[in-house]
Amino acid sequence: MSELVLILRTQLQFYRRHPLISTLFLLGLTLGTALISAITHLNTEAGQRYQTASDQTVSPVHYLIKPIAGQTYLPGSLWFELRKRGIHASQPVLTGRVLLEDGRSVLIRGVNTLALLTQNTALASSSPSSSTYSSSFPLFSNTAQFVIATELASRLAPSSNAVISKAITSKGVASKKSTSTTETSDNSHSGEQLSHSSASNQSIQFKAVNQSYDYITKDDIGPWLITDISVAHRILHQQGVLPSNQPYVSLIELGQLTQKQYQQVSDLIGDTATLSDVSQQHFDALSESFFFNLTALALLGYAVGLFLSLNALKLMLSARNQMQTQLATLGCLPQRLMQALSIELLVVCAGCAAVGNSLGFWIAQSLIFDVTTTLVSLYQLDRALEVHWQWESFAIGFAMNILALAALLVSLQWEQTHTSLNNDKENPTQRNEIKTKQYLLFFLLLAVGVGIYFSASTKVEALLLCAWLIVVFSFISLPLLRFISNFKLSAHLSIKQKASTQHFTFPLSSFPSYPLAQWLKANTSMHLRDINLAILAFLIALGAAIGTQVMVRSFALTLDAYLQQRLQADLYLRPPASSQYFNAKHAAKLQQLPETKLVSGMITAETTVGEAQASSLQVISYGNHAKHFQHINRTDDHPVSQTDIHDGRCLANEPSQLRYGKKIGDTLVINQGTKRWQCQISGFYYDYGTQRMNVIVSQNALDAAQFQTHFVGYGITLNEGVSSDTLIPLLMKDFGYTEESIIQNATYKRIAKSLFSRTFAVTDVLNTLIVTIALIAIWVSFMSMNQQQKNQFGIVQAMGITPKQLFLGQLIVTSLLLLLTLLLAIPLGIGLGHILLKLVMPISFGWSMPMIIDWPNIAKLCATVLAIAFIVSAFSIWKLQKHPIADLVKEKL
Amino acid sequence: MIEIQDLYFHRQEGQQSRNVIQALNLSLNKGDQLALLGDSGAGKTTLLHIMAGMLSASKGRVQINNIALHHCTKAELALYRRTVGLIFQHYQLLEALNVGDNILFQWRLQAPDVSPSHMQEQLLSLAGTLGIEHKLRSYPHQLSGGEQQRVAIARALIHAPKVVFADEPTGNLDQQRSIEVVELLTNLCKKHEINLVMVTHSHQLAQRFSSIKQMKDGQLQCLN
Repeated sequence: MSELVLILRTQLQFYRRHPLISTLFLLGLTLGTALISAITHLNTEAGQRYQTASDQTVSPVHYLIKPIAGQTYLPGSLWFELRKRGIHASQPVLTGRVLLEDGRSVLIRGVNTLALLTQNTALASSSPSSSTYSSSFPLFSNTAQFVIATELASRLAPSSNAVISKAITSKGVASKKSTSTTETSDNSHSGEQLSHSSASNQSIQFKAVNQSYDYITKDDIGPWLITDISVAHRILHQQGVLPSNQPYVSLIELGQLTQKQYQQVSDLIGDTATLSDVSQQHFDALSESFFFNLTALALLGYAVGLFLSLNALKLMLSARNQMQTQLATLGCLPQRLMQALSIELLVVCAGCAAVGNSLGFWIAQSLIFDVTTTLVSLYQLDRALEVHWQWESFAIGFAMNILALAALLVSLQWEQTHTSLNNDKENPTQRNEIKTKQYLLFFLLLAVGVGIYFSASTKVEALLLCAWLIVVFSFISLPLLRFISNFKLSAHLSIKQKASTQHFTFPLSSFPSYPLAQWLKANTSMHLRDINLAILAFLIALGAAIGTQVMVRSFALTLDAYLQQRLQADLYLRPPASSQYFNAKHAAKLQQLPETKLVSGMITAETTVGEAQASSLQVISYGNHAKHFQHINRTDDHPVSQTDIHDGRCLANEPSQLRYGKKIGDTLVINQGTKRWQCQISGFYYDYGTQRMNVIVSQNALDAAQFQTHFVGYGITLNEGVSSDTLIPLLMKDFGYTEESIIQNATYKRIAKSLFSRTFAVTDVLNTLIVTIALIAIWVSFMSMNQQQKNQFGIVQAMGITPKQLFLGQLIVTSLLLLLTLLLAIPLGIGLGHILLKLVMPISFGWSMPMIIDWPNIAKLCATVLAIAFIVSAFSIWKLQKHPIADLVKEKL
Repeated sequence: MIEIQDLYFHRQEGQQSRNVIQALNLSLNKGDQLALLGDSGAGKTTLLHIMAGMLSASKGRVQINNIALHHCTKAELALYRRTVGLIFQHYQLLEALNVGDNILFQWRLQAPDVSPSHMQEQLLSLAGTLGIEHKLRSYPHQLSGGEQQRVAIARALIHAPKVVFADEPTGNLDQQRSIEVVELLTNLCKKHEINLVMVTHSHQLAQRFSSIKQMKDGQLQCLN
C-alpha cells in the first residue's frame, strides 16, 4: 500500500511542478463536460417538468383539463364544480397575451394565490427542510401584485421607459440575492423576504387598464408575468382578450386521481373539455428536435474541448514518460504503477465531471429563460422550467471523460507507431501500405457520405452527415498542410536579406531573410502533426459557427420574406366582445369602406387526423374566394387558386409533407369528436413556426364540416396610399372597436421575429462557448508548441536572428496557418449550413428554405475570431521572446 | 580582441540576488586562445554568454572586436552574434534543418550577398576537414554525438569569425574524441587568427591553450 501511496504522491507532485499544462489538460475536459452537462440539465428538466413542483403547486401535476378543440378558455364554473365534488387537488390557471403601455406584448399567467398561500403555510409547519419554489414564492408576503422573472424584467427594462422603470435591473439583482438567501434558509423566515421586497414599489402599466401594478422579481419563473388569477382575468378582459366578464380559465391542473375520481372528472367535463395525462403531451414529441439539435451542438463542443485536452495531454505524456520510467527503474512494480495511473485517471475524470457539472448547471440556469420562452411559444409548453442539480449529468460527464481519455491515449499510441513508421526510411513498403489504406478509407468515407446525403430521412442520419463532413475536412487538413509546407520556397523566394552587419534595419524590411524563412518553413513542416491538432479544433469550431450562421441568417431572411407576404393585411381586428363569430354582414360593411381593399376573416378549427395514431391538425380558413388566400406562400410558388380550396380540396402546410410524409393527392380524414370530414391535398404552403399539420380550406368547406370553430379576427388590406392611421379612428368610432382590438401588422411581425431570435439565442450561446473553447485550444496549442521549441528559438537567436525578426516570422507562420484554417472553415461551414438547411431542418422541423449566404456577416465573424486567435497566439510568442537567449538555449531538447 | 573591465552580473534567485560575476577584468589580443576552468556554478558559462552577446551584464564594459556590447540594443547584439562563432555543450543544432543548412545558417545571415556557389565550396572544404562531408544531407537526429559536435564546430567556423566561444564542447565526448576535437578547433583558430574562448572542466584539454584562467568567487585567476 505504501508503494502505491508513494507513486500517487509523486504523480501529485507532477501536477504541482507543471501547473499550467495540468490546468489546461483539466480545462479541456471540464469545459467539454460543462456543455454536455448544461444540455443534459435542460433536456432532463424539460422531460420531467411535471414531476417536480413548479410555480403554483407543491404536489406534482398528473392530469390537465383543457378546452376542447376550437376553444381557448374553459368556464371558471368548471373548477368550482370540481371542488364541490371533492377534487381538491385541482388548480385553475389563466394565461393570455396582453399589451404593455408601450405596445409590447407579454404573456400573463394567473394562478390561484390563495391555494399557494395555504400550501406555503402548511409546508412551513410540517416540513421545514423542504425547499420548493412555492414555499419561497414572494407574492404572498408582499404588497406587490405581480412577480416577473428577473431575466424578463431586465429585458423589458432598457426600452421600457414609462412602462417599467429602469430600476428593474438593480431591483432584480437585489431580489436575486434575497431569493438565494431565503431559498437556502428555513421556510418559516419568509418575513425576511417581506421586509426586503416590500421596500420597493416598482410598478407596471398595461394598455387600456387604468391602474398600475406593483411587482417584484424572482428567478426561474418563466416568461410570464405571474399574478393572481383575478388580476389576470381583469386585465385580459379589459384588453378584450376574454370574451366576456364571466370567470374563465385556460386549464385546470390536477394531481393524482383515483380511478373513481378520474371517472367523476370525465363525467363532469363530458364533451365540454378534454382530460389528458400530462405524460402524453404533444410537447415532448415536438420539442424533441429542438433538444436534439442542442445536444448535437454540445457534443461538438465536447469534441473541441477534447482537442484542447489532447494537446495538453501530449505535453504531459512526454514529461510523464520520463517519470514513469524513472519510477520503474527505481523498483516500482508495474502493476502498482498501473493501479496508480488508473486511480489518477478516475480522480481526474471525476474531478472534471464534477466541476464541469457545476459549470453546466450554471450555463443551464442562464439559458433556461430563453429555452422556456422558445418552448412556450413554439412548442406549447405550459409551465416554466427550473434547473435542478442532477447527478445523472455528472455520471454522463464522468463516463464520457473516461471513454474520451481512453480513446485519446489509444490514438496517441497509434499516432506514435504511425509516425515512427513514416519516419522509418527503411520501410517504404509498409509506408505505402498505410498510404493505400488511408486513400481507400478516404474514398470509402466519401462514398458513405454521398450515400447518406441522398438517402437521409431521419434526424440521426442528417446529423451523421454533419459529423461526416467534419471528418472529411479533418482528413483533408493534414495532407493540405503537408502540401503547402512542401511548396518549394527556395525556387520562389528570390528576396535575400539586405541587412548588413553594420546597420540594423527594421525587421519588416529584412523579412523574409532567407535563412530564417527556410528555418521557419522546415520547423513548421516538422511540427505539422501538432499544428494539425490545433487547426482541427479551430476548424471544427469555426466551421460549426459559420454553418450555424448560414442556417440562422437563411432562416431570418426567409422568415422576413415569408412574414412580408403572410402578414399582408395592414390591420388585424380582434372580434368585438359582442360578436365572437365571423359576421358576414360586418365583414361586408368593412369591405365597403373606401379605404379598404380587401377584408378577410380568419377562422380555425382544432381537429385530429388519422385513426390509430391521431395527430393534431388545425383547419384554417380566410374566406371563400382565392383572393383571400393570396398571402399564402405555396412551396411551388404558384398563387392559390379557387380550385385549391374548394370541392373537398385543401392546401396542407409544409410540415405535413416533410414531417408526416403527405403527398399531393392524398386524402386527409379529419376528425373533431364524432364529426368527420375529408379533403384531398391540392398543394403545400410554407408554414414556418409550426411543426404540426395544418390545412387551408374555403370558409364554405369549413362550414360544411360542421366543426367547432374559433374566430380569430378580421384582416384588412388597405388601398394603395391609405394609411392605417386614417382608418383606425373610423373603426373605433363607427364600428365600436377599442384601441386594443386593432393590431397593426408590424406588431405581429415583431412578435414572430422576436420568437425566432430567442430560439436561436440558445444556439448562439452554445456556439459562442464552442468558439471560446476552440480559441483556448488554439492558445494552448501554440503555447505548447512554443514551449517545446524554446530551445530551438534560443538557438536561432544565438545565431543572430533578432527577437523582433523571430516574433514577426512566427507571427507570419501563425497567420498563414490561421488563414489556411479559415479557407477550410468557410467551405466546411457552408457545407454544414447546407446540410442543416436541406436535411436537418426539413426532417426535424418540417421547414425547407433556400440557403442564403450572408458574406458580410460571415466575413465579420471570421475577422473577429481570427483577430482573437491571432492575438492569443501572438501573446504566446511574445511571452517567449521575453526570455533571455542564454536561458532558452539551456532548455533541454 | 577582447576587453572586459569591472564586469558584474547579478542573478535573482528567489528573493535574493547573487553576484555571479563581480569586478571581473579580462583582456585578450588578436588570436589569443583562453581556457576557462572552474567549479560548477562558478560563472564560467555566464561570462561566456555575456561575451557572446546572449546575456547583458549588470555593470561593466565589454568590448569585443571594437564593438561595445554594454551599449548595444537587443537588435545590435543579434547582429553582433552573427559575426562570432558559438559552440555549445549539447551541440544545439537546428533539428528541422539538415547538416548543410545548419552549418550555413549563420553565414547566410551574416553575409547574404556571398554567392551560393562560394558557400557550397567552403562548406565542402570544411566538412571534408571535419570528416562530415558524407553527412551534409542528414538531419541532426540521424548523427552520433561526435558528428553533431563537429557540425557545431563547422557552423562556428565557416563564416570566418574573429572570435569563437565554446562552452564545454567536449562535455559529451570520450577522452580520445575530446582531444581530437579540441586539437582540431585550436588548430583551425590558430590558422585563421581567431580568438578562442573555451569553458572546460578538463585541465588536460586546457593545457593546449595559450592562456588558462580559473573562475572563482566571480573573478578570474590566472593559472599559467
